[in-house]
Amino acid sequence: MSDPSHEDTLERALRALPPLAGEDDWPDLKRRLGARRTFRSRLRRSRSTLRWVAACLTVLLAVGAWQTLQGRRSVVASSGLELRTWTRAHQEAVQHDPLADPWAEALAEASP
Amino acid sequence: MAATSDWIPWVSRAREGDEDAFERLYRATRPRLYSAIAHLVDPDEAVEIVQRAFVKAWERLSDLEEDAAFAGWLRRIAINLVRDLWRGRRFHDELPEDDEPGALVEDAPDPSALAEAAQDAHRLRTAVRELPPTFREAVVLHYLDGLPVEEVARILDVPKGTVLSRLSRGRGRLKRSLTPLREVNP
Repeated sequence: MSDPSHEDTLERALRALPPLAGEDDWPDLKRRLGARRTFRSRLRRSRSTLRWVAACLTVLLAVGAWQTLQGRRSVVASSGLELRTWTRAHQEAVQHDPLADPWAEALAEASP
Repeated sequence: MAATSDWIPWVSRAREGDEDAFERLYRATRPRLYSAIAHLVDPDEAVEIVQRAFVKAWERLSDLEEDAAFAGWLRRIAINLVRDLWRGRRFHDELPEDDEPGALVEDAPDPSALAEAAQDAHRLRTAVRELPPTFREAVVLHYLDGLPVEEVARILDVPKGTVLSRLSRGRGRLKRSLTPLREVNP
């Protein structure tokens, strides 16, 4: 590094190195480009089909989600109805016979 | 790349999908690209990397803004593929600690021995191949491929000063590997 003549010698030698020659393989590259193009064109051709499939799947998912939600609602509604029916029956029974209520019966027995 | 820039008009035609233009571009620019890459990796790997670089170039040609920049752009694609290969081997970033430029001042090799060794192309190529990858990239692109430092910096995506430093340290390494060290008088 300190002596420029060394650097010149090395740099000159590096620059003068003959290039390495490799085999030109255009047919191989053309085949690779063709394969890529085939894949791309196949993808492009099937793009509309893929779009339809995606739309159908979206609709199916939406319907499924809606039905699940509705199912949950009906379960809640039916359990609510069951509770109301039971309460009403209980109240009617108690009106006719106060001792029909097991709590009232227990209280009556416990009282002196 | 080609000595002249005759290939520039083919870039725009290739971008429009003209395969014949791309073939011309390939035939004009491949030899220099291959020579550079074959100094960075094994010849068989260089063949594969060059082919893959052209496939990528074909696919991304629409991203290239300036036709005249094709050669440098293609270099960058190829260098990135080389780096991927090195990354797979996990030695790309290995830099020896003793590569301080100052250390080379005292280790000046014998000039006549260096001149003799440098004339031996095979020995010189071997020494270049044995350089640490980051030095090798800079040395190959600048000296063997003949690219200016600014262009090398663009391709390697590093500042110009980093390229100059790598060249200096690369030269130091080459000198040390090409010649026996001269004894330094205290």
